[in-house]
Amino acid sequence: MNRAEENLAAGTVEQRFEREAMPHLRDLIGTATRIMGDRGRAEDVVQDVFLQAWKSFARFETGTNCRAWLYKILFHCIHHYRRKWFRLAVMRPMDDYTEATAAYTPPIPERLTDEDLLAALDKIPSDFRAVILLVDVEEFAYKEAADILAVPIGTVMSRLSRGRKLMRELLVAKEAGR
Amino acid sequence: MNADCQRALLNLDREPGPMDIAHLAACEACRAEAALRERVRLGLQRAVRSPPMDAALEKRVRASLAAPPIPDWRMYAAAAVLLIAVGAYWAVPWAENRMAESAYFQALPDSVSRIMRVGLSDHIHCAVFRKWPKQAAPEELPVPYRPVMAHIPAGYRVVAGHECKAQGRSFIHLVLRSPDEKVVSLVMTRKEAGETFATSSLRRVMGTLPVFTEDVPRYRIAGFEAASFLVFVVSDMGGTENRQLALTLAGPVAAMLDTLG
Repeated sequence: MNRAEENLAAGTVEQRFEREAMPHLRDLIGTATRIMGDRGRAEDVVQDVFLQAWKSFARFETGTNCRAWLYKILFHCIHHYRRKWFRLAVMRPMDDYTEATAAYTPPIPERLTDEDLLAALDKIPSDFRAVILLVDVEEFAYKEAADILAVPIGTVMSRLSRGRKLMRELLVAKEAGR
Repeated sequence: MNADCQRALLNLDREPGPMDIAHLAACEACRAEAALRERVRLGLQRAVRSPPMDAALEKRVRASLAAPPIPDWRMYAAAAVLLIAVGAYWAVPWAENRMAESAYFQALPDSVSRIMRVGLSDHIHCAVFRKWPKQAAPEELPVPYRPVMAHIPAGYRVVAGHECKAQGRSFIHLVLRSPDEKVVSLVMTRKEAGETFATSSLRRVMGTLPVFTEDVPRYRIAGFEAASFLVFVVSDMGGTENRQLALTLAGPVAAMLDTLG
């Protein structure tokens, strides 16, 4: 069965979009809110994501990973949104943390609230935050996360390691300050 | 914590190999550490996903998707059709006019005098086929020629006045409507070398100035001249009316043109 036949068998474009794309709306909002730091902006971006996805959905192959495709559009939109409205330079990769820093593992506090976790997540650099959201929260494979962010897989792994470490340090510091 | 522990825990964030997995199975401390990390991960997952979904957002997204997606080739095809339609709207009448204008002159008998073809060409090109521009006289009429308006006889209505070109020659052109709504052109152009009605064999009628006349298929032409200008009255009125209009205009119009040098 070729691509056109597969798409035909999957129903109308509207039906396919409803079935394959719309269920991911909530997850995209969650990720966008944490990356943008503002629910309103996140909603604007996600609305744009779905509009772009809808416009090009005729080219989307049924059976491929719609969720990863939507996240790729999401990060593309976020990048453009930042450049358009804030004229932000490309975020500093923060890859210059040493492995020695990464090797240190302070103990994790027993008592963790959602607010503690989100506060720590929001404080780490944006590039690290994006990888943690994709891998730890959305459970994308390293390769998928690398494809979504358009970075090498090694960069995903190192950012993940360093991001987790930074989060842990922030959680420990928070606990110590209680 | 030994070197194996450090390597296994570091690789937890990367790609744990068989040695790391074997170590985790054997080392209680590292298993506990892995479990803690998983607790943080699950806690974070829950926290990120905890805000309730806004029904208004879902509604807004669906509303923005109301228009069906149009594959690119259809948009391009629609744009091309539109472009062709708009182009045809302008190009077809233009081409028809040009062909009809050309056909008219090709069918013109050889006997039609060369000098009368000058005035006829502008009438055919501008007043008949191109129609006249919509602007009303005298706004578009060059200022030095505006006094001619004062000499248009009662009953005639000026519908356009402008400077135009036909067959590479410049004209001052007034388009009139006769009392019975026939189209009349008053065409003025500077003489080129050797051009004069005086040496022609055209029919001559004497008024204040001599007026020369000729009938061509569908139109009547009457001409007179000032020192530096040829003037034509071309219309589809009857020969008498056309000639009479030229006789009325000849004196004052020639006098006005003579002031222009």
